[in-house]
Amino acid sequence: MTPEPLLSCRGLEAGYGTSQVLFGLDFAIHAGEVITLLGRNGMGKSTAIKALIGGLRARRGEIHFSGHAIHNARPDAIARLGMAIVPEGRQCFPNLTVREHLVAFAANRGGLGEPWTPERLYALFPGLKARAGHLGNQLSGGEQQMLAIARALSTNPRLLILDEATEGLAPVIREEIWRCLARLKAAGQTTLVVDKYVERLIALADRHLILERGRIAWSGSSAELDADRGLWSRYLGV
Amino acid sequence: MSLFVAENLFKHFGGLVAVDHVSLAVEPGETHALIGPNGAGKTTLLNLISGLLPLDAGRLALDGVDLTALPPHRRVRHGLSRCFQITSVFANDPVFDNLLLAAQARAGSSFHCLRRRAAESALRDRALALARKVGLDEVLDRTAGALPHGDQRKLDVALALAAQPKLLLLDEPLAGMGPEDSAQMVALIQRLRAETAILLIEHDMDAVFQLADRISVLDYGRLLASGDVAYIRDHPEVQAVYLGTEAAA
Repeated sequence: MTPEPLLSCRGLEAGYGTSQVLFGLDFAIHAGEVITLLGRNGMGKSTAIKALIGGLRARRGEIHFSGHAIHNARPDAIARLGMAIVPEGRQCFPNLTVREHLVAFAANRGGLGEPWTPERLYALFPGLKARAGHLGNQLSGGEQQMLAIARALSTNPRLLILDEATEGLAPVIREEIWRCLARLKAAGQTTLVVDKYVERLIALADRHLILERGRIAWSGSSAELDADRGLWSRYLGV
Repeated sequence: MSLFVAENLFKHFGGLVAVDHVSLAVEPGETHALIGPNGAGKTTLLNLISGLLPLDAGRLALDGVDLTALPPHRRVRHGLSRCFQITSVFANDPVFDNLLLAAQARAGSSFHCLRRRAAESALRDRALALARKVGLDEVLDRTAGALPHGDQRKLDVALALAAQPKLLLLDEPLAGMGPEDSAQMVALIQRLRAETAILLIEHDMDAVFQLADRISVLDYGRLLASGDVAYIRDHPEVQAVYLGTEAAA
């Protein structure tokens, strides 16, 4: 018997004002999976993430997460159930130190046997340890991105969501982010990723969902996406 | 003679030296890329060049004119235009009005209270030419803020081009773009080579390697290396601090 998915969306519709962006999304994420949400700009990826984390109320449809219906839940309630986001633009707190970022929200929401602690997070991102006493706005873009990931991990989430986590980063920092995500996957972290580096995502993820005008136009495995370059040009503009 | 020369630029914020005696030159028609780790001082350097930050020491000259003591708007008049990392358009106005305003600023014409601004046909022609140049002539009536991100970036470039720059500063023009928009922006920048030299900050190495005649690398505010694509791609220190193994491959 297939286990219950960690997250499931059924018929999810959402939008802004008179503009509808999502038209009935159906998908599920199982524990331990790494899933990507792909598509050109403006196809609904960020809106879908907003709807998942409670930042945008679903107009129709259902979202279930970790056994709870969350389509009407507040963002803080969803976060307490074990969903954490690394938001686009990092959103580090300018007036908190690195260490404060890692302890202010710390919790073991996923009930991990070996939870993330500041020390384990410093081991994952050694660059942050040297900057432990620095404020969020004193960090470089790369350091802020690592801090945003570490902050999300400090909640020991059941589901980690990364929205454009490699945007605006130097190649060498991007590589560090990809290495980090591979380590998290090996450790069993369930993850939903939005990013534009398709080849890296194929290497990392188990399955992919392609959004086209607010609908899932294609879903499949990394091997299937890798084999069908027509999909890349049709839906991703690559 | 180089079109643009920056000599020994120096800037510190308290105890932090952000730009440490950096010198670089841009030749006529050259696309010169500035790369480096996040926090290396690239945007600060662009702020010094465009005049948004005062220099602590150093000298700047464009086409033989000393820019060092000039405020930003005077630098624009002398041929220095800039696009910022964050798209800066008049979001509530139509595309055409954005371009018309930029064309008017370049022409130096004041606001005539007895004449319709849009009636000035030379300015309208100029605005339309700018729209065609960046591929926005089909969306002239659209509100700028409602355009897709890629089109807003094109409009941003068009506003900078309205000043008819000799040197165009582009700060991460591909930021936030998917592959399709990125390819269009790369093609646009390639087309611009015919009319202006470009100093480009960008983290997308495929684009940089495609576009740049020369690349300068900043690290901790210092110039680490400068040279053509092959030289920079194979530079061990640049690989170590910035490119990593993937982008250099």
